[in-house]
Order: sequence, then structure tokens, then C-alpha cells
Amino acid sequence: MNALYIMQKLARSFLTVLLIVTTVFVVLRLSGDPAVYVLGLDADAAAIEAFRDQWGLNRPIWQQYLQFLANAVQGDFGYSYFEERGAMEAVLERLPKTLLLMGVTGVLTLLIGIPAGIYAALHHNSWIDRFTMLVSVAGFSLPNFVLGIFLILLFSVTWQLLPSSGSGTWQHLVMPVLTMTVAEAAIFARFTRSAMLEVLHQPYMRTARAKGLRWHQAVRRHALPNAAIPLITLVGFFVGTLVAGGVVTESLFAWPGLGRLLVSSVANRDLAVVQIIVMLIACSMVFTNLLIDLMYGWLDPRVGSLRTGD
Amino acid sequence: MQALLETRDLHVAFALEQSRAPVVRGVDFSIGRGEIVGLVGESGSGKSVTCMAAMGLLDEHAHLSGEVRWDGKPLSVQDDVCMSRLRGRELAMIFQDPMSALNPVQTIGKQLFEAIRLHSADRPGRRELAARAIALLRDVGVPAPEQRLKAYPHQLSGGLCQRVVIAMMLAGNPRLLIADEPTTALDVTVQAQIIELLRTIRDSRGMSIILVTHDLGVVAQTCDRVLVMYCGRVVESGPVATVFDSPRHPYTQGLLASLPRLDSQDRSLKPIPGLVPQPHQIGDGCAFAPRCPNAAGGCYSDSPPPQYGEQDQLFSCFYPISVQSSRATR
Amino acid sequence: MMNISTSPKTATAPLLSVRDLRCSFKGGTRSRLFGPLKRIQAVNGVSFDVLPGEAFGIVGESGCGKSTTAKLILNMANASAGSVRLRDQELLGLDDSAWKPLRRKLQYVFQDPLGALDPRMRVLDQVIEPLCIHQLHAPATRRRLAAELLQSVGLQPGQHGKYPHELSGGQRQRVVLARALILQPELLICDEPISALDVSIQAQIVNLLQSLRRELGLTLLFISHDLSVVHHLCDRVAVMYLGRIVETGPARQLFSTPRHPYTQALVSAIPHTAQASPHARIVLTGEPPSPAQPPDGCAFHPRCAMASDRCRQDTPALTDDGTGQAVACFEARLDLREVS
Repeated sequence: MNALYIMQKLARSFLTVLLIVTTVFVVLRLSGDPAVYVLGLDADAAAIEAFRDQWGLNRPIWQQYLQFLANAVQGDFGYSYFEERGAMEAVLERLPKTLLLMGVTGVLTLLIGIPAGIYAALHHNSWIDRFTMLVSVAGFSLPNFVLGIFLILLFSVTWQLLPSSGSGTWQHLVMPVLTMTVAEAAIFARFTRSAMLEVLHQPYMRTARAKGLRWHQAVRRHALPNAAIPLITLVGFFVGTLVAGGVVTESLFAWPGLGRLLVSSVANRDLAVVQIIVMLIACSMVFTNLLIDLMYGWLDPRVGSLRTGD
Repeated sequence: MQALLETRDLHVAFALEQSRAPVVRGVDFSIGRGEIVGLVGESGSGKSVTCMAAMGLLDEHAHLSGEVRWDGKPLSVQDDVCMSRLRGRELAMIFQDPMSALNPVQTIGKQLFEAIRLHSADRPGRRELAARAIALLRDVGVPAPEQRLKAYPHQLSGGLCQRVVIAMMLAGNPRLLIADEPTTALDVTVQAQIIELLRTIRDSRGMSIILVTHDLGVVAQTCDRVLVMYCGRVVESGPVATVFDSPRHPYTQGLLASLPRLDSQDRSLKPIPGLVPQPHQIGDGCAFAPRCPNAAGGCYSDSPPPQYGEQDQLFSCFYPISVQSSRATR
Repeated sequence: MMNISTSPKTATAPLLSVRDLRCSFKGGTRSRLFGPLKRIQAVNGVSFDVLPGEAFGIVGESGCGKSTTAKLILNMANASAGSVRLRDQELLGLDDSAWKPLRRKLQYVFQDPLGALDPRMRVLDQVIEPLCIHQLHAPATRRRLAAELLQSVGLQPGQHGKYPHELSGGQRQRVVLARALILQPELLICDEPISALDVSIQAQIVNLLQSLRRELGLTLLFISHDLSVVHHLCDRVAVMYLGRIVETGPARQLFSTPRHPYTQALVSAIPHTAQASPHARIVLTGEPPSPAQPPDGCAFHPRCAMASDRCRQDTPALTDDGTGQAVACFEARLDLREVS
């Protein structure tokens, strides 16, 4: 593990982000005319032409792309036609809400999923193990929006305990977080369980006990740390699913975060906003995976020596 | 001589979906101080399970009955607290695949320190730990032990890993070492080194060793006594020279006859016909009867009791091979 | 010299003739981040002949290149140099279409019989399959031939309809053997065919191979780490160490009077059940070196008690001593026989 290796990784990550941004740019430009969306279908031709001229939409797409890149480098991420202000401003305003939702969900997921998985693995084949796995199958096979609607029906419509939409109080947070946590924690529980089971059956666990460790000592010193290594990969996917789940959940509960903004901006062809959100998501995913890669090399000496050859 | 480890009528069965598979079916076994005893048999003979039972390393799906005695006192092998006090400082165990017997993400040093710390009354500092670890590694013939402490298992060869595992097990200076197929995964020349090392350890520390193996040749060169197991029972036991020179049980003789030998090429191998039965296929009679050339009616219905031959040789067979004919065929 | 040293003094043309076979691949660890990967010489100039009807054994420890040699012959790995001839046909460098008819003549059996069989196919069908691939015989004849062959390798008709997981290890290896033999190959290459089996079952398979040789006139290339089995089964043997043949000769002669110090150590390390071993026990120090970092000169010199300065610099060539036994050692002298 050295600086050069990290630089190489960083360069690769940057390329990935660029590729994603480019793809989104091309797809959005080719799939519809923002002028029509903003001004409406019955706007007159001259107005549309003027709109296009103003935002450079009548130039060839590669020119638009280069312009976009040049602006981005200078920190100008474009203008939201729909909100009629800087796109970055619009996005940044929503960011804290999304981070709050993701943060609470993330912490809860890890706090529920991992201990449940460990417990199930340590009591392999017991009724608790089977029960945990049953719950977990149900958890991740239930689609987000179904669970969300079900919760709204139960807590908002029938019992009228929680607000069904919006944000502001902790009561607003309960249902969106619950909706997302159920599926994520279920996946974590399953994955943790199988990682633990694999490690528990390794011969070195037997060696650890043969040299005099109690069962729980061997688990703590040799099984838990080793099972954590494959789990770190899952955290990378986790960020991705949080984002994807966030889009659906935020729309469902009218949570004023990035996910909801993304959905409405795509519908309105608010190009600059979509572009920024996608870039943010891409950056966060690429960065997490970079971090995981580096951590993997650090945690598992076998990987480190394969890559850098010490 | 009082036995160090002794099992009396040890039974182990594994719980299956609906039934139980009896894997060890009444094993009487004992090992004295400073003795090397070989436990031979094919897969499914129950040799490893017998040892795991004595170490208290079987999981909760195993049903045990019978008695295990340590130093004359009964041992509750299914009590983890009680067994963990003995493991490492009274009896220790090494395994077949040395590479996977070590934690791949911890350094050799860390794993050795853990063992040393477990078995020392004082709280040794880092420098003291390193010194003791290096001394242990040197004892088991690891070259340049100072540099190995920082190495990870994948950076060492199989033979070196096995030496490290042995060093780890010696940390508590146990009185008995159980070696379960310690050389099976190793090359021929390295196998010879490890066997040599085990003998040296026995001589220098007066340790008892149980050598579990399928390799009769290894037993002949290493052990004082041998127990031959088949389908969960000891079918023959005794001093190595006696048993290999004049086997009385047809299974022992069959095993010996099925081995190719360097000193004669003309002799064609005489394999034991048939297959090793699965645990659920074994009935009341002698488990070897379906493959046995001497088997008669009684063999299928009754289990033969052990009987004494010459020089502490013990065998369980209704129709044993006579000493004269046994010697003649060797 | 190679020709003399690696084939027996008979007029018979060899069935398989391997000359100066080499295989190297990139691997191991880099010394620097962008440094070149080391080239690992897995097989380093191996030459031998296999005569029709004989059993030729290759022995050595893990990493010595014996299995790679088999894979090179079978076109399962790419040789970097050398020649492999089956009768008069060069096998190296042939493309897949040219290989297909050759597969009939060259069959193989590897260590793990369960991995070699299709888990969802009945064993009889697995033995029929090669006949279908090579479009031999009518369907009814195929069934009959396969059933006969299975029976002759010791599988009763009641077991022909079973799936691999329903059979024991020894039975599976019999199925693999039958599948290899159904095409009536000229050469059967066996790589550790019995290592995964129980002791009492190993002898069954060894005896089966022996009787197949007698009855079918099968030529055998038998690769194993087990010297006593090779000694028992093979007519001639080659001992490999770190990619090279260090000693070769008639099996009996080689095992009774090994001349290379490595062979001597190997032979003496065989655990015997007879208490008195025919050889004084030699326990080598150290372990086989990694092919990624071969020592200079003779690869064996770091572990050799007789190594001289010359051994540390030059690599000895395989040289015939006039008795049919050839050895690659500067220090091997005839009087060593008396020592051992």
C-alpha cells in the first residue's frame, strides 16, 4: 500500500465519475427538449427558439457538453429552469434532509442487521436462527413502496399516530426510516450470518480452541474480525441501495430530499439539477468503493500482498 | 503405569435429520506418559472424532456417552469452561491442513503471543512475549524465527505453518499432543521432517503423542503402540512391531496387504474387496464381516469381544488369523 | 544425449516422445509496483519417451512441475518451447479442431473423481457420452459397450443408473476410468488418480490399472507423489525436482540404487510398515524452493549434503551412466550405490 497505488485508484475513480456524468448528459439531451417542458406544449415557436438560444440548446451536443464541463470546472453547475435559480443552490438546500434520512437509516440498519446475523450464526439451526432468517426473507422480498403504503395505512390512516408526509419532527422520520431499514437490515442479517458461519467452520477456529481459548473468546478474537472483512464489501452496495431506496421512499412520504427532487427534475427535464444529483450519487458511491478497496488491502494481508507485492 | 488419557466405552453419534449416525461405537483407549500411540483407520473409522471428543471440540450436534478420564479423574468433555482450562496446558491438538489452521489475517507473532499469554501466570510484556515466541519457534526448528513473527501464514510454506502450529500448542507445555493427520497435506520430504520433530518433542519434553493417520508406514516408523479402527471400533491394538508383524484381525492384515512395498515388486496387491459401510448401514454384528474372508454366520449377528493375543496384542474377531499364518504372509 | 538418456535401449519406436518441454508463466509477486512480474519456470526442459505398452511414472513433490507436464501434453496449458509427439505427430501448437481426433487417443484421469463427473448425469450416460461426441457406433451398441466396460472396471449393472453422488470415491474413479477407456485410447495419463481414495480402495484401483494394462495393452503415463505406488505399477520412472527431471531409469533399478541425492532422500523417506527399512533414513533440511525463486546452479544444492562449488553455479545435465539409469548430478558417482 503506497501513495502511487492510491493515486492510481483515485485516477480510476475520477474516470468513472466522468463516464457516468457524460452518459447522463447524453441520455438526458437526447430524450427530450427542456424548452417544451418548461414553456409548455402550446408555447409559440418563437418563444421556444428564444429559450433554446438563451441556454445554448440549439448548438451541437458536443459543444454543449464541452461548455458544461468548462462551467463545472469553474464551479458553475448550471441553472435550474424550473426553480429559476442556481441548480447547485437548489440541490444543496435539499441535501441535509436526505443525509438525515440516510444517516438514521444507516445506523439503524447496522445496529439491527449485524447483531441479528451474528446471533443467528452462533445459534445455527436453532429456532431463533430459523425465525431470524424467515423475518429477513420477508423483509427484503417486500418492496419498499408496498411496505411504505402499508405503514401509511396503518399508522396514519387507521391509527392516526404519525404524519404521512413532510418533514420537521421526529414523527415524520419514523415511517420513511422504518421503510428503508427493514429491507437493508434483512440483507445485512443474512450476509452477516453467512459470513459468520463460514468463518466459524474454518479450521483456525478449532486451532484457537485447541490452544485453550474458550468458545466465546475464540469467537471474539478470531471469528468476528474475520467475518467483518467480507461485510465491508456489502457496505459499498449498501450506499447504492440507500440512494435507490431513498428515491422511492422520499417520493412516497413526500420527504423533501434529493430523491424526491431527482424524480421531479427528471420529469421536468430540469437538466442541470439531474446532472448534479447524479454526479453527487456517483461521487459518493465511487468514493465509498475506493475506501473499501483500500480498507480491504489493509485488513486482509493476502489481498495487500497480491496487489503491491511486498 | 497409570494412563494419562483414557476412554471407556466411548460412543459418539451425530444427529441427522431424522436419525443418529453412530460414528464412534464403544472405544476403549488409553495412552501412558511419554508414549506415542498411532490411531489408524480409513475415512469414517471414527479416529478423528474420538480425538475431537477427548479434546471437547465436538459441536452440540454430537451425542456423547461413555467416559473420558484424564490422569485418573473423569473429564466432563462437554463443559467448555472446564475443558478450556485443560486445552493447551494439559492436552493440545494439531490438524491436517496447517495453512488453514492458522488465522489468515493475523501475524504469526500475534497468534503465538495469544497462546503464550493464555498459559502464563505472570503478565509478560511485549519484549518477554517476543522472546518466548522466538524460543518456541526455535524449538520446533523454524529458521530465522525473529523474522517470522511479523509474517502472515500465507507467506510461509505448509511445512513451516505446521511447525508454527506445533509451537503454538507447545506454549502451555501440555502433557499430551494429539496430531490429527499432521503430515497428510505435506510433501514426502517435509513429512519426514515433521515426524522427526514430533519424536524429538516427545524425547525432550516427555510428552505423550496420539498420532492419527491413515498411513500405516508413518505409524510403523513413529509409534510405540497402534490402534486400528474400523467403523467406530478398535478392531486391533498392540505394540507396533507385533501388530504389523503378525496382525490377527483380518482387517489389519487386509490393510497391510493392500500397501505396495518397495522391497518386493512381484507381489500383486491384495485389496480388501467392497466398500467401507456408511454409519447407518452398520448392524449388530462385526462391521467388517461383509468384506471379511473369514466371516461366518455369527459374525453378522454378534459383535466380537476383544481378546488378548501375544504381548498385549488385543483384537476383536471370532475367527482371527493364527500367528503362524499371519507371519508367513508378511 | 537426451535421446540416449531418456529412452531404454530398445528398438521400439516410442508412443509418446517429449523433448525439451518448457512452460513458464507470469506470476508471483512484483518487486516494485510497476515492476515486471517474475516468470515462473514450471517446466524447464523435460524430455522423456513412453514406449507402447509400458507404464511410465513421474514422481516428485508439489510444485515440481509433474502435473504441468501432463497438462502440457494434453494441451490444457501452453508450452513455451519444446516438442510433444504422439507417434509421428507433433501435438504442440495444434488448434482445437486438429485436437479433436487426438483426444480419442489420449485420455486422462485426474485426482478428484467427483469434480470430473457431471453431477446431473447417470454414470452409464457419462460413459456413453464420449462415443456420442466422436460419433462412434450405433446408439444400441454404445449402450452395450459402455455397460460392458463399466462391468469390467468393477461396477455392477445395478449401479449403472446411479448418479455420481450416490457412489463412493473409489466407484467414481472407476466411472472416470471407464469414460476414459471407452474410446480405446493409446495413452492414458493419470495424475494422482488414487490420492483422494482410502487406503483399502487405492489398492483396488492400482490392481484395476494393472489388469487393464495386461488385457488392453494400455500405455500409461502415471503421475504421483507416492513412490511406492509408482514403484509397484511402473516400468520406468522419472523423478522431477523444480521443473526438471533429475533422475530417470527402470523403476526397480532406480528405487533400489537411487543415484541422485534427492532420489535417495525421497526413497528413504517412504514410510515402511516393515520395521527395517532397506535404506538408511535421510531427512532433508529445508523445503522444496519456490519455482518463482529458483536457486542458481543445481536447484537441489541448498538441501544437498554433497553440494560443491560447481553445483552452486552450473546446472548439471541428465547423463546416462550406461546402465539405463540417467542422473543429473555432478557428484553422483557409481560408488554411491554401495553407500546407499
